[in-house]
Amino acid sequence: MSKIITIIVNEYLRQVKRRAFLGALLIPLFFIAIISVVMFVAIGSEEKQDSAAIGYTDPANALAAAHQTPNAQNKIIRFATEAEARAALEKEDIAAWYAISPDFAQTGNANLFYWKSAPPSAVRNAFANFARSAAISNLPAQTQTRLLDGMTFNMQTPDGERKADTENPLPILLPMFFAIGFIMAVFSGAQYLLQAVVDEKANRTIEIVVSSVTPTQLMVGKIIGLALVGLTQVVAWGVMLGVLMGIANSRLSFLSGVSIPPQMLVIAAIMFVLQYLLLGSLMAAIGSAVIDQKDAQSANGPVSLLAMAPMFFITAILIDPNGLISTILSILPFTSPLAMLMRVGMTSVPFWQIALSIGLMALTVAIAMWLAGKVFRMGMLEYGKSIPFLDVVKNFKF
Amino acid sequence: MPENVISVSHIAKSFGSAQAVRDVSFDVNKGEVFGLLGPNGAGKTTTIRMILDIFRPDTGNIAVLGGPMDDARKNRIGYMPEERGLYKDMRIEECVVYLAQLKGVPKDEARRRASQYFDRLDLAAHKKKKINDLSRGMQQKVQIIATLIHQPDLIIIDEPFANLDPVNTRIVQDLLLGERERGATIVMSTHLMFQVEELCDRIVIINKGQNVLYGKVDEIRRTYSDNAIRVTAQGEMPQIDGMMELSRKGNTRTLSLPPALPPREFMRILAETPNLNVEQFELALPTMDDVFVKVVQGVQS
Repeated sequence: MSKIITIIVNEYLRQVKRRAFLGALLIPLFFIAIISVVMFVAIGSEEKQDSAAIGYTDPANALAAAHQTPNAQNKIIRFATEAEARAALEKEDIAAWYAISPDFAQTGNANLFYWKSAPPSAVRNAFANFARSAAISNLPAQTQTRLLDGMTFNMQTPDGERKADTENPLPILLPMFFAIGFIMAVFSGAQYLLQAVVDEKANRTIEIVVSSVTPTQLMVGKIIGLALVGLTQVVAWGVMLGVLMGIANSRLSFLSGVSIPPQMLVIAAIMFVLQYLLLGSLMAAIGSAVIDQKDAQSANGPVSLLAMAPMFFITAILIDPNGLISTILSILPFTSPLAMLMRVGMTSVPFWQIALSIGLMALTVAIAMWLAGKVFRMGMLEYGKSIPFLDVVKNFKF
Repeated sequence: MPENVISVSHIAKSFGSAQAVRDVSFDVNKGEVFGLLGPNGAGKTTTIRMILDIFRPDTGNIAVLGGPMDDARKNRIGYMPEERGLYKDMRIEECVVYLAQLKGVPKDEARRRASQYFDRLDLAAHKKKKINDLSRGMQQKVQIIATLIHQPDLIIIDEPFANLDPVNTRIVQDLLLGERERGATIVMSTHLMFQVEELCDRIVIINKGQNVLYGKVDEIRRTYSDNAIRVTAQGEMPQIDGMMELSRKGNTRTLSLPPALPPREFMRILAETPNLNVEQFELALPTMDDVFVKVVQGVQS
């Protein structure tokens, strides 16, 4: 056992010290940071604009009956002449002004005048609402308010634990982002593993190592060691994102309702580990059967497809997280980690399903790792050639 | 009864349709230097891998250090495979310590021993370098260190002197003999038989996956000596029926005596031959290559 730990520690440190790892870790963060800053500044300034005042001229008095709802954020000012409106625009008292055409009642035409750039859609929508109000002025007041303000849908879980609404869609989007991040992390971790196994062959060190530990001990050590590397990456990204979001939270109102339920994080961690171990075993087996990095790349193709497969059913789960397909996908071993993770993020999943899913996955992983050990045993000493798949099957006995 | 460090009994191994080992048997005694000899492709490396439990034999039995291979026994064996491997991107100290740890040596102890070996083999100055940055000769030294650092009871080396320059060959030889002094058992496997015949006590020669010869080096050489002697003498040699001159270089003749005439008897004859000044007289023992050729050709005919 201690030998396995030695191998784990060794693999972990070797990988983490490599420049490639630091690059993979920091570069995405770098981009995220830049994008966040840009978004930050843009949204910040937009917020100011969103509540800007709007002007209009209405020579034909088409909008006489128009009024703003009590919730309106933008001030709407009527000007008697276009010249006055223009002056106000130049003084920046208003963001823009509409010239309502004389035949507005029939055509709905108006011209929008603005100084440097068009006002944001929030502002234009506000005016559109205002203009509409003239058309429905003969309806009861309450109906008018409903029509103009729009409707808000509230969604929440039966225990009231989690809420999402149309103004705050992130709790739904978050599982999706999580899912994509998950796939990326698993995949990159597995890549390291493939590389590590092929390296061992290229270095010709396998034989010495295997005279000291069993092939299974070696495989388990490598797989776990590199799983930790992948996990480190994900955690680092997560922490950075969390910090960024924390900063953003204070300034961007639309993010304020977002929080990730802790049980989701726990399940995410478990599922990540299991999914990685499964994919990793596959990568290790491939790595054992090829000669060098070049061959490994070509074997990569089909495996990449396998790793990306979850993307295909993401939509199915998004549409109906509690449906039969989603439930099955979240319990069967190969698709379960991602599927279950998404379901947990979107809906309330019965505990027995989660337990079953994890249990089956763990069993599958154990079998996969054992198999990988066998293939490794076969392929590791074939220095000169890749092993054709048939040979693997034929010679499986030892 | 000498203690068996390795006991191989009628092992066989095939990979798919290729039979690498058909029927090999031998024992290795404690404290001896044992040669596993044979031409390329004979099955030596496969046999070694079976001894180390890297492969399992299809049939037959192997016992190492008193029983089947396990973790504790692995820790007592040092192995230097033909494919000399080291972790190219690691520093030499890191690499050696890691490999020692895999043999059950605690990290601090491994560091200490590594230091001693580095000093002894002139590598101390390069301790912090990556293996890739060392010359070939220095890498070979590192490999030897990795093989011996855990003070194994059994040392198995595949092609011990391959690609070594004379200086390093001497270093490796000295190290190995030092290990033997310490009580270790050494198994050397090579197709260059002349390299090891001076060092080995007992050997097994295998060819095409089977035993061809097995026993003490001295005895084997004597058995196949064809009753040959080498004489350096000035003067007329006596003629004897059935005696053949195998080769001659100046005054040195290699002669094959008739089976009925023992060398000692011939020596007496020479002593009694007038006008013959004998300077040197010795048994012309064949090299293992000679023996091997004889045996293999004998098998084929």
